[in-house]
Amino acid sequence: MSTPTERLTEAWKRPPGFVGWMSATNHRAVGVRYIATSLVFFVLAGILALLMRIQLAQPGLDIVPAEAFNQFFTMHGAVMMFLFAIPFLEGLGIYFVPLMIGARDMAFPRLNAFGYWIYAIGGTILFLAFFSGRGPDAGWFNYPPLSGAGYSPSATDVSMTGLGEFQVGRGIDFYLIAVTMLEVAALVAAVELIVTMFKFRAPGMSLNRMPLFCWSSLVTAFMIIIAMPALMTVSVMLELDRKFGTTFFDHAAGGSALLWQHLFWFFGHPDVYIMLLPAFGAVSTVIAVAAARPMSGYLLVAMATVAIGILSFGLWVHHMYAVGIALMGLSFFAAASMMITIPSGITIFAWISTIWRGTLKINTAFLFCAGTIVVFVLGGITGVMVASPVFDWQVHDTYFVVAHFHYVIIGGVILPIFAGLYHWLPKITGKLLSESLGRLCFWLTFIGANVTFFPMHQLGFDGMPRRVYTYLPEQGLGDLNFIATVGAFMMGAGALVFFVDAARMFWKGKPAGLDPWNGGTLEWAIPSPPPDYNFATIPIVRSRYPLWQQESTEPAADRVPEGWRSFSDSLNGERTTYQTTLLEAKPEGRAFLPAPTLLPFWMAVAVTVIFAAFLPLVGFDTELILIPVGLILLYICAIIWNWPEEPFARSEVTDRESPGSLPHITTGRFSTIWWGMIWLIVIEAVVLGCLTFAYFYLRISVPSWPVDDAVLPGWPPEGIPDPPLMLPAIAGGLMLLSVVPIWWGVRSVSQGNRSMLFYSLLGGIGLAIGSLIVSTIHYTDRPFIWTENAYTSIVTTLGGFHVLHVAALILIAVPMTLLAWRGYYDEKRFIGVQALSMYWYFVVAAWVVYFVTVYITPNMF
Amino acid sequence: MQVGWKRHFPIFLVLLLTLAGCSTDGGALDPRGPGAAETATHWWLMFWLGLAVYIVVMGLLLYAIMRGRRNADPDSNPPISDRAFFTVGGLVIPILILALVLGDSIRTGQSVIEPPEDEAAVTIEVIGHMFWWEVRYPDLDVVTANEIPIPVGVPVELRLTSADVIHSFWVPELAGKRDLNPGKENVLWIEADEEDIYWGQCAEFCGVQHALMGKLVIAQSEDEFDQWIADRQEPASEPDDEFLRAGMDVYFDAGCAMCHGIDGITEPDPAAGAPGPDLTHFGSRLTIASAIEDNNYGNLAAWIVDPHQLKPGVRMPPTELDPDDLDALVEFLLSLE
Repeated sequence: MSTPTERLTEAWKRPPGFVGWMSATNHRAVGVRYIATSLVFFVLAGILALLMRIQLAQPGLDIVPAEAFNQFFTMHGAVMMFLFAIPFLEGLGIYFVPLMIGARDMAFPRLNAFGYWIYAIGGTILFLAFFSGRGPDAGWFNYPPLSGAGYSPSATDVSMTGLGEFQVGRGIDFYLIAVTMLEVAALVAAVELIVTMFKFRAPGMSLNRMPLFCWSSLVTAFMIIIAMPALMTVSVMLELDRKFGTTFFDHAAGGSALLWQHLFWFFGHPDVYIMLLPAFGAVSTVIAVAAARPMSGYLLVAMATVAIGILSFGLWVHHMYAVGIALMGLSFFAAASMMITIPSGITIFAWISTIWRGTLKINTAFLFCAGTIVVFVLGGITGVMVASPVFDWQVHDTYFVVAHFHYVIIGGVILPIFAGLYHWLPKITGKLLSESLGRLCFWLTFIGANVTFFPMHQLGFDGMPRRVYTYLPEQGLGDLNFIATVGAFMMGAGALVFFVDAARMFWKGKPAGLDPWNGGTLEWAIPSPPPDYNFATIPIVRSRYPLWQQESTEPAADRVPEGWRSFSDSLNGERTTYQTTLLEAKPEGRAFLPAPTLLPFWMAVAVTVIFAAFLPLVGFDTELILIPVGLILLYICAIIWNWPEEPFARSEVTDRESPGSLPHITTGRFSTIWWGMIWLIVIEAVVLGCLTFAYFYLRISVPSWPVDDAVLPGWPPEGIPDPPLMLPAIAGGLMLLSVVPIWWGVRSVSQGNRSMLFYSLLGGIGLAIGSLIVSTIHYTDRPFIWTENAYTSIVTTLGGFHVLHVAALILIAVPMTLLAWRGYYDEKRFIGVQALSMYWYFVVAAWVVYFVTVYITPNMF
Repeated sequence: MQVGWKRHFPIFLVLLLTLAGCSTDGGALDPRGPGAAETATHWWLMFWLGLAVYIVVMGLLLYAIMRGRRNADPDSNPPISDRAFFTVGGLVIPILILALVLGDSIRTGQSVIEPPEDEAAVTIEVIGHMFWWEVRYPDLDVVTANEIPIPVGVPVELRLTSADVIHSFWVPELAGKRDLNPGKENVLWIEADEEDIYWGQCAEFCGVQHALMGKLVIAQSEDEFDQWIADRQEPASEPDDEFLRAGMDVYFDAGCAMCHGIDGITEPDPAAGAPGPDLTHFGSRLTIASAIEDNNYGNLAAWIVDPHQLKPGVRMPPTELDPDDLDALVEFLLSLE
């Protein structure tokens, strides 16, 4: 009989070789990959910034030509945000959240690996496009009509545009597709983080004992789930405009360019806080350790984090003050924008209070935190200023704003990231970074940032707009720009020092030991780097800083039920971790986690194939073939992914349970899959919400009188009849009816009636197919095609959204029916069909929204 | 010199020496019209409040670090209880400051956008193009480009739209900016206090030549302005001079007329949305290439031969011409006063 540690090592070991490396699903493997990959992108985007600063150092330089410069600033913004800041912080969360909450892995390890591959492939696509001269060049905000097919044609049809040698805008498709892939990755990581923090916290770690870094990661994950689907939706809409000729953003056919801005900034503003909050969480952690005492105002800071998360969704219009919206409306958003400084300020005061109460030891990580306060507060103050509409009319889209948000992002994201690296890299690598090089890195970065960006405030006042590749000598902007360039190179030197330091660490860094800083949270209780199973014994938590406030985190033998330990030992070579209740973290079961597999990688390949259909690669018709190919590949992967391990006889579940041990949770509201499904549905609901918003926005912005020949007034436009009710009502009625067998089937299997489940699923599928047929008849019967005008575009897209979901339901239900026929599901194990039923109810509810929006409202008013 | 000092004040705080030699004129903090002036006043209120907040927070941070380093006891008594600190510093004071800023912002904003009580003295349509400004005086039947003469001391109503992508109208010394959206008209009021030429450029990224999409607002006395309008209402006539007539032929033969109209010479009168700027009184313009270069023989000739030398990516194609033809064409254009 081997020892428990040996068994754990065996159960959690990473498979050897390159294929083994590719198939790793362990959260620390995935987390490190996110962090390392994002740092590569950080370097590339930083180099772009330096090149731009060289070009702008003096007026009228011709070092970076205009077309290249426009690609540079687009890439710099997009890469720093989508490829560096968000993935880095999510990677940090993926690595450290399970360690901080005392879990052995995350809730969906394979999904985690899938997210990484999608991110890596998406980022690579963007850079391949860029290096082949087809980087996006319409700004990271990518406003149509500039980013539309008319002004940014794809390369495949560039010959028809007559633009001659100046081929601009060829990278927009790459941008939209890459960004959508990165959003998928971010969403996957967000769901992962939420469910892990909800269900895998160590026993006793109630929500109000969760470390602040986890709190901020949790709020961030929620924000990602609400915000990112908006960008995905609007990116797909623009890609439809570009690829298929719909007219969402083409005002000449009833569309609206401002629709893009609303949906984009509904994502874009929360996105700032999506970067800021986890970075704040890192600062809260580091400051508490440096001051050797718990954070002041823990609850207040946690609540401030939640408040920032909520408020950030109410200020998107402050990016649109100059587009011509009534001042009354702007004032509302100005008030909301100013309000968000209050929770931010409270967080900063909590840091200050922690410092003055504590026994401060200044190390590199703390220096970066102090720098955070100095830089971020200034960015916050100018943030209040630009929240004032009348002031913003002057400085909007000028270098004042460039200065403002770089102060916010360098203070609120970059310096905290460096603090986090100096604090946590020793845990990841097991070796210490150099303090002296660290201080050099800090001072270069800190001074460099101020020298670069402080003069830009003045440049904005002096009339320098953003996104210009050059300026005239007569404008008198040369001196300040030169200073900014010097500062940028100081920052570059600071980053270089960090990478030198990191290389030195691998080469001859001192061993870090368990805990070089006397940290208070659980990650410092285990070796550096941690073993693959993280915790040999899952700790018991009784306080917010278990290592400071508890004598021991070992479960006392007399207070622990017998079964707790037996499963910790991986008796049958399985990977397990505790599952605990949502609020109080009482143990309620054990979660079995899947073994490493290559499936996530193949799944990512399948998704890439689908997306590749939208890239201008070979030719329109050829490219479209990729969609069915990718879908089939995806379907095969998904079936293998979800197919139960053989043998799936019913006895398997009970076999794993020894008497007195915690149950293996497979079903019901306690399971991770139930929670995962909830968040998937929320994501989809946001997509539906965005499309519905688009419908009504287009409807109210369509003129009620003829403007010119192209734009027909009215909704539906003149010449298109009001939508018929009969066929859609029948199709929807069939879907409504299908809820009954699905509900009945899940209820039956939960009571042990397995055969009824099979027949219920068959019935549900039959009704869904019937609904699909009726819908198809209705859509082919329509007197219009979707590219005619904005009305036909949005109505068809909403319809397509619905049809695709019904088809997905059928495709998911078929293999499940097969399993039900084989008798796989029983009263202890039916989460699969339960998840299907939840999704089914959502699709039906979405149909109701769709039906009321598209079919009822035009007939009513 | 008081104005210059104030305008540069924020920068003086940090970069006093470096900036000693730097003196630029103009900008949003050197307002020359009521809109920009009120905005600047609003800025200075926010600046002093912001500076005070910043100094206080930095003082607290410095104090905290010094105190924290001296503390031997890891849970020493704080100088002020957290409850008081968070309530007063984090809630009460910020709310007071923010209320003041928001109130002043709304008041200033309303005052800036409120249309003047009198009828507009002049209404001007500005239509954004990639990468130039079409300027029309609809009541006065005048069309020009990139240079916008206005009467001094009178509110002028700008009606802003775009013929292609989104642009933004911004002359920092006169007023804040407003976007030019395709299919949606925005209104912006500007007024200049002094006779001068005010520089402005496009402030919404609009493509490859966004950087050099400049314009001039030329504030003149009302008499000069009226005279200017009267001059511009005259259509051009075909030149009598043989040489200039040859230039006019080049203008047609080389394809200039396909995009650029000249009232009285090309028919019909160029409609809104013409691909290139109207050239009716081109010779009297101060600048070419959307206010980037002086309008003189050399610049114009170089521009016609290859506009992409100066502004890569503009829509105007290069034109190969014999030296004689080019000479005639340039002289013809400059003669259109």
